[in-house]
Amino acid sequence: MSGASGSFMQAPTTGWRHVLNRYGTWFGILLFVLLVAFRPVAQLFESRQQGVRLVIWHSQRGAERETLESLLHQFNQRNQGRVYISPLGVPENSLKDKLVRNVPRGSGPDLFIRPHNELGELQLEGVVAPVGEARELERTWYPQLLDGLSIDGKPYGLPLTYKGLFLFYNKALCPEGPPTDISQLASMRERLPEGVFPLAYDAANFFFHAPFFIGNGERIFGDQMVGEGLERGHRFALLDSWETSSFRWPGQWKKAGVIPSQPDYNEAVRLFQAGKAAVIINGPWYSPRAPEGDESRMISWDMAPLFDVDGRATGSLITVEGLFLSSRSQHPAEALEAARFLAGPVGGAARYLDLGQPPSTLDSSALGSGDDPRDELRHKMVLMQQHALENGVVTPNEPRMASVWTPARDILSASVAGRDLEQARQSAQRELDKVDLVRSGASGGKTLGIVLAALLILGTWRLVFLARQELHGDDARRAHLTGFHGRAALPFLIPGSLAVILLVFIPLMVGAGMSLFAHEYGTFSYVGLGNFKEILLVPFSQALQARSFYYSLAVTILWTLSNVVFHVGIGMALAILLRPSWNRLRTVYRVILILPWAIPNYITALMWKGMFNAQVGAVNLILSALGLDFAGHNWFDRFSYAFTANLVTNMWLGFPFMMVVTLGALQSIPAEQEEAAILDGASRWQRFKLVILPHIKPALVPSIILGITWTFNAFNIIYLVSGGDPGSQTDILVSEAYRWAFERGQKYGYAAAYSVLIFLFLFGYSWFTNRMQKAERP
Amino acid sequence: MKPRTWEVIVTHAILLLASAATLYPVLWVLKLALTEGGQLGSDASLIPIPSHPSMANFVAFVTVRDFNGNPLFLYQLGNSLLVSATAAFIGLVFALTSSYAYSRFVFTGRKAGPRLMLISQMFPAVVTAVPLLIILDALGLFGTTAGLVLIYATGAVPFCIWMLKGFFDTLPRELDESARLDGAGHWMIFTRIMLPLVRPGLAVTALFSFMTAWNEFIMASIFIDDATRYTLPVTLQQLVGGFDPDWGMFAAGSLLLSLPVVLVFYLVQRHLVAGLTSGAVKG
Repeated sequence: MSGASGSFMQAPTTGWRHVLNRYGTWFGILLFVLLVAFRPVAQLFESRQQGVRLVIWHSQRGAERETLESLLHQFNQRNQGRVYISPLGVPENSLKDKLVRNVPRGSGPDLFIRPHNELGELQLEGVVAPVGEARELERTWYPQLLDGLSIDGKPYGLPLTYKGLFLFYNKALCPEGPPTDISQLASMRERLPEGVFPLAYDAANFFFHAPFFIGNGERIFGDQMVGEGLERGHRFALLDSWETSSFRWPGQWKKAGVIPSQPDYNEAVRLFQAGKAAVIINGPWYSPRAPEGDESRMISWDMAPLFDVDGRATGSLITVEGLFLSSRSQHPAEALEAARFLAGPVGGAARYLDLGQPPSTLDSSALGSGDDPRDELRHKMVLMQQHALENGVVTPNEPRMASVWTPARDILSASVAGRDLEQARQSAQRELDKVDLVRSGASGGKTLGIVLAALLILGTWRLVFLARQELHGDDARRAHLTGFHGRAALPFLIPGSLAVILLVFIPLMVGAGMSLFAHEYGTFSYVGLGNFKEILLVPFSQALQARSFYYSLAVTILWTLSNVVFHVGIGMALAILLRPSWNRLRTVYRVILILPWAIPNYITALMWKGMFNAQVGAVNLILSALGLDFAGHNWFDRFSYAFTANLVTNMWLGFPFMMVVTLGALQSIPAEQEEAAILDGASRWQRFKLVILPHIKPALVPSIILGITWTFNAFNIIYLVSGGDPGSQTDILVSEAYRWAFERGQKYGYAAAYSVLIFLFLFGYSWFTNRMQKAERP
Repeated sequence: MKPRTWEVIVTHAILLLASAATLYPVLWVLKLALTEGGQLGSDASLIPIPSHPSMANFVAFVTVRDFNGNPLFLYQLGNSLLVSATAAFIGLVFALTSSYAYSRFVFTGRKAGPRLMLISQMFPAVVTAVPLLIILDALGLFGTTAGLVLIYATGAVPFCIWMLKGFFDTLPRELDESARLDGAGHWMIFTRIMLPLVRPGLAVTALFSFMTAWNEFIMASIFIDDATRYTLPVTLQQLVGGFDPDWGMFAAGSLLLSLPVVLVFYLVQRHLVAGLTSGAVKG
C-alpha cells in the first residue's frame, strides 16, 4: 500500500497533470455550477404556455411517436391559451410501475397510453377512472374495442387503435399466392428449396400461437359451477381439450421442417427478410426491411389475411391500444376533451394515414376506397386486421390473464424443442392451479407473530452482547488512551450511518417484512409464514423441476461455483502473463482486457445474446468454421447449452475484476524471494505454488467472497441472455424472485420471501467462510 | 533476466487471443452502431465490419428533440454527469468518514458494522425498491433530482465503506497515535494525515459510485417525470423493449454512454489495481 500511494505522490507533475492537480478542484466546481445552472437558464428562454397544463405518458417511439406528437401540437393550437398538453416518453417496461408508484400519490399524468390487457390490474391499483357511459361512447367507437377497455360494463379508456395479426408472404417463394389453409404447409415444404421454411413465427409465444388456438376452437377461460351458481368465464380452460390441442402442432411442424429450429421473433423476422421463409405471422408494427440495409437484396412481399385452420377462418388475439384517464387527474374535463380528440376521427385519420393503423371509430370515411395506389398498402393492412378482429378475440383484460402467458409459453417451448409434452402440461396445470389457491396460514397469525417477535428480541440482544465484547481487550485499551473512543467517533459516523440506515437498511427490513404478507393488487394481507411454507414445502416430485426453490437453488450454486472458478482461473492466469516487465505491450493488453468491466453489462449481455443466435450468431459461425457441427444450432432450447451461453457471457464480464485484483497483489511480492527461488532451481509450478500463491491469497479470498455475492445476484445476465429459457430452467434464485414480483402477477410477498431465503443462504455462507478463515489462522 | 523465445511467443499468443475474445463483442456493438437501421442478429458474418458504414444512428441519437423542441441529448448528458458526479461525491463523503471511524475508533459495533455493510449487498434489490420509494416520498424527495442523487449515493456507500476501511487499516496506527500525542485533533489528523494517504482509495471509491449512478435506469425511469430531467440510460432503454426495437440507435447510444466511463477507467486504472487489493487484504 505505501508503495502504491508513494508512487502516486511522486508521479511527475508535468503537463496536464500539473494543471489538473493545481486547478482541478476549481475546474470541477465550475463544471458543477454550469451543470446545475444549465436547466434553469435554458428554461428562461422557453415560451410559457397559458392555460391548463396536461401531461400524457406513453412508450411509443419512431413514427408512432411522431404522429402522437403532431396530434398533440394540433390539439394545443386549437386550444391555445386554454389547454396545453405535453407528452412524456417512458421505457416500455417501466411505465406500468411508474403509474402504480406515481398516480396514487397524485404525481402522475392526466392521460396515459397502455395496452388494454393491463386494465384489470390498473383498475385494482386504483390508477384509472371511468371515461363515460358505454351507451354514449358506442355511438363513436367500435363496441368490441370499448368492451376490451371496460370492467363490469364501465369503460375506463378510449380505444386509439387495435392490433391484430396477419400474414406477410414472399412473392417469389409463393408464386400462386400465400397458403390459405394450414393443411397446405406440409406440401409447400416439398416445393421450396433446401434451407427455406414455409412458415416462420414466434412459436413459443402464445400471442403468436393464438390464431391456431382460436382456429382450433379452444378457449382461454371457461365457465364453472361455484356452489349453486354458474360463474362465467373465470376458470382457466386452455388445457381442456388436451388430446386435440393446438399446443402439439409447433413440435410436429418443426419435425417436418415447416418451421425453423429457433423460431423466436427476431429469428423469424431475419429469416423472412433474408428470403429463407415463405410466410411470417406478424403484426402491423412490422415492415420488412432489406438485410443489412442493402436494398439490392430486398425481397418482394405482400400481405394476406391469416390462413384458415382446417377450413375454419381464424383471427388473432386483439390488443387494443387504450387511452386511459388517470384517477388523480386535476383537470378531468380537459383531459377527457383531449382524449376524445386523440381517439376520435381526427386522431384515427392521422394514425391511419401516417401509420396504417386501423381506426377505432365506426366512422371510417378516412379509410377511403383503397383505389389510390399510394393508399393500397395501408388499406390492405387495415382490412387484414379487421379480418383478425372479426374472427378473433379481444384479449381478456382480467388480471388472471397475466398468469396464462408463462404456462402457455412453457408448453409451446416444450413442443418446439420436442421435450416431454405431458410433463409440460402437468407443470403448466400446477402453475394455473396455484393462481386460484385459497391462501392459508393466516389463522395461526397471532401466535406466530409472538414467536417471531420473541426471536427478534433474542437475536437483537445477542447481537448487542457480541458487539459489546468488542469494547474489551488490549486494542480497546490502547484506543482509549489515545482518545480513539466511541464519543469521538460519532461525528465521523453520523452522516454515513444515517443515510445508510434510512435508505439501505430500513427498505431492506421493510422488504423482508413483506415476506409475511400476500399481495393482491395494492392490498397486503398478513399470511405469517405462508409464503415460506408454499416455497419450501413442496412434494418431492415437484422439487426437482424448474421454478421450484430447490431446483433454482441447485442451478444457482452450479452457476456461482462454475463462474467463480473460471473468473479466478482466467483472471489469475492473465495477470501472471501480464506481469513480466520485458513485455512492452502489457499496458495495451491491460487496457483491452479491462474493457468488459467498463461497459455497462446490460449492453454487452444483449450483444452476447445476439452472438448466440442460431442462424447468424457469431458463436455458431466460429464453431462451424472450426469444423464442428453447430450450423443452425439452437442455444436456448436445452438446459446444458443455455446454461453454457450464460456462463460464457458472465465469464467474459467477470474475469477483469479478478485479473485486476491479482495484478495488484502480485506487486506486493518481494523480488528477492522470487530470485532466491530461481537460484534454488525451483520449477515454474513450484514458484507459483510456493511464492506467488501465498502472496496473492490474502487479496484473493475476500475478492472471491465478493465475486460469489455478485455472481449469486447476477440478475442482468440471466434475464438478458437466456431469459430463463428453456422454461425457466436456467433461472437463478434472483431472477425467479424478480419474475414472481413482476411477471407472474405481482406476488410481492412471495418474491420477498424468496429474497429473504436468498439472503439467509448467503448470510449462512459468509458466516461459515468467516469461521473457516478464523480457524485457519493460528 | 532475459526471457526465452518460446516464453515470449506463448505469452503474446495467449494475450492476443484473450484480447481478441474481449474485443469481439465490443466490435459487434460498433458495427451495429455504424449500420443504418441495423438489427440485432440481422446478418451472418464472422468479422464484424459494417458493409455500409454510416453515422446516421449517432446523429439521430444526439439530435433527438422533445415535444417542446429541447435538445434532449444535451440535457440528459448534463443530467447524467451532474447526478453521477454529485452522487459519487456525496457517497465518498459518507463512506470516507465512516470507514475511517470503523478503522480507527473503538465503539460498540465497530466490527459488526462493516460486516453488516457487506451483508446488505447480498439482499436482492428486487423488493427493496418499493419501500425505498415510500421513504423518499415521506422525505418530500420523490421525483426530484436530489432524491435520485441520494438513492445512488447511499446505494454505493456500504460497499465503499467496506473497501475504504481496508485501506485505512493498512496505514500504520503509529501515524495517528503519535499525531494524537502531539496534540492534534481528530479532524486535523483525518484531513491532514489520513486523507492524503488514501488518495488512490478515493479514486477507486469515487469510480464505483460514479459507475453505479451512470448506468442505472430503472429507478430513474420510475422516479423522474420530465424528459429534460431524465438521465441518458433512460432514453437508451426507451429504444429497446417491446416490438421492433431500434438496435442500431441503441448501440450508438450505448457507445456514447460507455465512452466517459471507459475513459475514467483508464485514468484511474493504476489506482484501481492498488485500491482493490489493499482494500481487500484486510477486509
